[in-house]
Amino acid sequence: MTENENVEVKNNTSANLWTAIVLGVIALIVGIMPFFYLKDMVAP
Amino acid sequence: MSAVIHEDHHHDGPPAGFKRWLYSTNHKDIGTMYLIFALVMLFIGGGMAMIIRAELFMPGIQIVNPDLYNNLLTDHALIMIFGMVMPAAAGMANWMIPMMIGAPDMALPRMNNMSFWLLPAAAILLLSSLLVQFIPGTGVPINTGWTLYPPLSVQTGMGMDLLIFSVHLLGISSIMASINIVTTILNMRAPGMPFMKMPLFVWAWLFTGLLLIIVMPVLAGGVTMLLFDRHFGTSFFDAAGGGDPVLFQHLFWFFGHPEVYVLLLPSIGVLGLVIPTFSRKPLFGYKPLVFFMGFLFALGLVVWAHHQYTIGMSLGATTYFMIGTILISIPIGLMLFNFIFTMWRGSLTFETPMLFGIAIILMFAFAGVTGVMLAVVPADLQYHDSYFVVAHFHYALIPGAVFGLYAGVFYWLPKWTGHMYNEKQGKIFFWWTTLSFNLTFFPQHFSGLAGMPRRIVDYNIQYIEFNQISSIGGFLFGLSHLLFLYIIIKTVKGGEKAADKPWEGAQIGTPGLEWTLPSPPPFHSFTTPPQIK
Ligand code: HEM
Ligand SMILES: [Cu+2]
Repeated sequence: MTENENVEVKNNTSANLWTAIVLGVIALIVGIMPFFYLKDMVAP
Repeated sequence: MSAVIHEDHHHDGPPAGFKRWLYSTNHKDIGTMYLIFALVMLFIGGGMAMIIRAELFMPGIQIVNPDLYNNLLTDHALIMIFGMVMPAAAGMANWMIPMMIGAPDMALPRMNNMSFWLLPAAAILLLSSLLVQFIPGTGVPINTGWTLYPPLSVQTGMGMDLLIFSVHLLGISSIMASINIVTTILNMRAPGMPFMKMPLFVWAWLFTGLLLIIVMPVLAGGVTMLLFDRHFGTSFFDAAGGGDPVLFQHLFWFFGHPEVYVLLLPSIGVLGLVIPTFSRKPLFGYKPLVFFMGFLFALGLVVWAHHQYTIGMSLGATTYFMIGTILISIPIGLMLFNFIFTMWRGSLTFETPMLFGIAIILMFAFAGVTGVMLAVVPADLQYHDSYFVVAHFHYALIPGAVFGLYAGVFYWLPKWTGHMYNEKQGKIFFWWTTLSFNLTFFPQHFSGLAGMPRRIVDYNIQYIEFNQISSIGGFLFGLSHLLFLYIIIKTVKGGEKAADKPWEGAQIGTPGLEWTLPSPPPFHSFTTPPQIK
């Protein structure tokens, strides 16, 4: 690795996980939204 | 830091045997698997289309009964959309995006493995939903079409449950793939690769991924509500219990309209590379193109009800959806102009990817024209559910999505395999598909305008000529794909050695890094970030 010693290797792991978590939460929220019609739509 | 780098050196080749594929976390291998999966699905979905066209060759009922016909129609659409176009585009994203932006791999390689391996499971469920009807006592086959509207979809038999589970898996798979791709683009670009220098394909996938993250969960939610209505006594979509079947239509099209951009955008991204390469000129208006895609992304989310003009919305809502939909044709038209201006005064050559590129511009524009016709409410009340709609969306999807993927395959095949494909065979394939595609779908405009309804196994004898032309075209179109398969297999196996940058004009105007790597690229690339000047 001597020839690359001056290259700054960025560690993305935690940034990647956080980005994925944020996007995943967005997906969960939109996925749950349709069910809010549940309120008065359950058959008597 | 250096410890991390040293570790990489112990395993830089692929593991042997099936483990290489089953446990793969390598973006190139996963990309390959996606592409092979898409190719298999192309033939399964295409086989269904052949049965449909054979049945429609003559009026009356010849080959399949009406329910089976509608089930094949439903599965043809779902397989082509979820099994073919989306996985093929995801395969290209997997292969190319890390190499273009100088990343060592995708951001979340293990999730990448899972996104892929959910697909074969989903495909098995989907096919069993078709086959289960042959077991007695499983009820009516899925006869709804891919839109799965209740109340019909609540009344169909067990196949629908399998289909709903299949849609769940497909949804999870593409949401995870999208999260992965978006994260990769946001976080893993090499130093010197700002957003406004990314190749257009990368931009296209950024918008595609975001769209999928927003709309796929709504479809998953919608079909889950269907499942509840079917088995757990809810009545989301049942007027008798206080629900509303139209609610499902809104949920479906809130997903369904953005979905057409999901299918379109990756191919627009491919065009954004192919057209400059073979025009030997930088892309005309890179920034506006990015802006137009953003505009499509935003506007595409709020025009869904143009698929439901006939349900009796309020005048205000109808007017809003009509104006919004017509507005969308503006960025689409401008995109096509940008590609035409890129070619203007370029030194053009017409290799297979470029031929597809030009054909896309011409034929996709045609879909834009019929789209605007359909967007106009009083006109759509006539066209709706006729073959005119079928013609519109096949002109949108085959040139707009599928031909873009073919352009991508021919453009990148030398990079992926290290071999050049046979240019003459590529050109034959191009002319064969393009002519037979038009032969198949052009007549459907006329049968549609004359009143032939879609999704019906039989038709009035007045439509017989149009349908026979369509069927002959369809068989020729299907047949051309055997040549496609042959070209791909032959190129994978051998052929003229491809240079690292097989296209003279590649990389003009975009700093994408894929061509700086050998063809085929090593198993691991860019383990240390490259510097872009
Ligand atoms: C110029 C822009 C476009 C406009 C104004 C437009 C308009 C429309 C309208 C109004 C319909 C509903 C017709 C009906 O059911 O009565 C429709 C259907 C459809 N469009 Fe487009 N469209 C455009 C572009 C596209 C693109 C780019 C794609 C895909 C790449 C596409 C794919 C489809 C599909 C798949 C359907 C039929 C869905 C179904 O009922 O199964 N359209 N379009
Ligand atoms: Cu639409």
